[in-house]
Amino acid sequence: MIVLLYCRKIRPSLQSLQDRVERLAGNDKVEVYNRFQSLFDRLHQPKNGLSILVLIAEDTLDLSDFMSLAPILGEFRIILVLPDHDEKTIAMGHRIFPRFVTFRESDFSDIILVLEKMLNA
Amino acid sequence: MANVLIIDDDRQTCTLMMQIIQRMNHACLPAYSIEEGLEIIDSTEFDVVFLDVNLPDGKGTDLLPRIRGVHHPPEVIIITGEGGPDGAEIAIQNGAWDYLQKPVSVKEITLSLNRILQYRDELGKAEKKSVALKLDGFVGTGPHMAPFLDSVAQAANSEANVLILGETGTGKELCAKTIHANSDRADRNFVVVDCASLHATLVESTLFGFEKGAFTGADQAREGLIKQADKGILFLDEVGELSLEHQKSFLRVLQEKKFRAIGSKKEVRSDFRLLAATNRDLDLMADQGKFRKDLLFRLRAITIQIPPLRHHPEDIKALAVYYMNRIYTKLGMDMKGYSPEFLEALCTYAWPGNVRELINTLEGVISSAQFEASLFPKHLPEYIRVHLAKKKAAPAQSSTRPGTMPGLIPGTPAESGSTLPRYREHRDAAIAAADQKYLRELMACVRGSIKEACRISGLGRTRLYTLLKKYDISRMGWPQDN
Repeated sequence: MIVLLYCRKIRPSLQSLQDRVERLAGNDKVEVYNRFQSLFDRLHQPKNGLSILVLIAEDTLDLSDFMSLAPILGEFRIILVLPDHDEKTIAMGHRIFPRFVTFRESDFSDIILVLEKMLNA
Repeated sequence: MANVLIIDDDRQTCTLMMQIIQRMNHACLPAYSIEEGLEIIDSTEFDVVFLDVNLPDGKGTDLLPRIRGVHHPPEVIIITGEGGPDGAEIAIQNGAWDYLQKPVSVKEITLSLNRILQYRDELGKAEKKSVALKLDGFVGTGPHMAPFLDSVAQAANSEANVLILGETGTGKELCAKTIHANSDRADRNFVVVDCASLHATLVESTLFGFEKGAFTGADQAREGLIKQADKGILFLDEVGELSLEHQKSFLRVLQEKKFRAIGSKKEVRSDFRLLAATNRDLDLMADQGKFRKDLLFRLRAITIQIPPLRHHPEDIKALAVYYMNRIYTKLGMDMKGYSPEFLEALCTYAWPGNVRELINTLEGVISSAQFEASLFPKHLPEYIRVHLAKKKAAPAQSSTRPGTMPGLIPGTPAESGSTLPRYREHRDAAIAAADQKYLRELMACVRGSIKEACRISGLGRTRLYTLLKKYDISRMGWPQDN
């Protein structure tokens, strides 16, 4: 099972998340993307084992981008990190049917717990 | 006004029932035998049929499939003087609405009739609304499809909780999304709770939310998924994975539609509608004390059963064509041709992973044949080709066909009995053929998992290995995961 991490901004917390996911899934089982076009291109290729997406939205523009991919996102299990707690932001997030939703202030330990269960399923 | 038919050879019972039903302003006809009943049913449409079990020309219950098979079938109430739990079970399993014992009271007749008419009235409204049912991904024309779509339409037009049952990969989440998209809550949130992926320590905080400082790490208050589903849909996927403790917490929310976030003293309301799905046998789990019966009863106000793909192989071709087109679009590729053998192979394979396995296989096939113009069986994964080859070879090896004794070849003198095998040889060959068939299906069904095969068959690991070795049955090309 391959896990994809997407985050437009490279932050130390993301590197930490990537390290933890690699420890869980294996070094060669994690793909990281920082540009939406790269994410778009990857999702329009054969899955080749890709099954879980961790999508980190920096703002609602990111969420709009994700929504444009909605027909394809249905093929994956999505963990979504939302930028804020606003009702509209949350509603936008649910439009891509994430299996788990958390927020940017999270230390991502919740994501690791969920990933662990997904990868062991 | 409803049309009612009474099929009963007891003329006095017929007359009395007709009087009661006509007093309720419904039209009523009598028939005194199966033959007479069939003649009337073939020429007239009825809403309800009262059917006696013992009729002069046969068993009334034998008539049930015929009555239920007509266009716009009526509901059937079985009436009998010789009641018994087995007869009642058979009647209900064959689609009867109810089972009444003679002498039938006026109250029983009026109550049953009114309930049926209320049900049919509501069903009629749901059917009218479902004309424009938005479907995405549900493909097929097989006989299971119409009743399935009726159930989806009924669920979409209702506010009742829905339990969606089906094996892995049959499309339970797609079904839930379809109900949402066609419901009055379509413009509100569809909130997924993946019970299988939620770690025990996350369940309550994820569902109920928490106040700032409620526990270490709760630096900011957070709204839970139940509140996020307010006025929308809460979809509990893999609900069978919820622990008993969390089932209890959730039952209370389901009953009262209010809850407290962790660390909060204030109760919060959420007007969510619940859809749940599982591939588990929740009745069995309830009997084993692993699932709360009270929660189960609340979950399944409406139950939708999605059949596994092997139960409707007639839809495989349409599904394959539909999803191949989607894959070509997604991958930005030109459409490819395919040989008849390729489609035939797809239709022959049992697809233990159901539609999801079919889609993933097609994507793999299309990407592996990227530079080729047409698809052939050789493009299919090896484990499928091995399975199909073995299936093809199996009948030839065992020379066993339904209704034919193993070891005998039809059309040879053996049929005359002159070269009949000895009884013991015949019996051993029949057992071996049945064992082989069972084990092949078992291993295909569990995708090669010995652990799962032991669980389903009840065989011990050593016994299973011995049998697989004896009959030279491999794990059908599935990855050996245990």
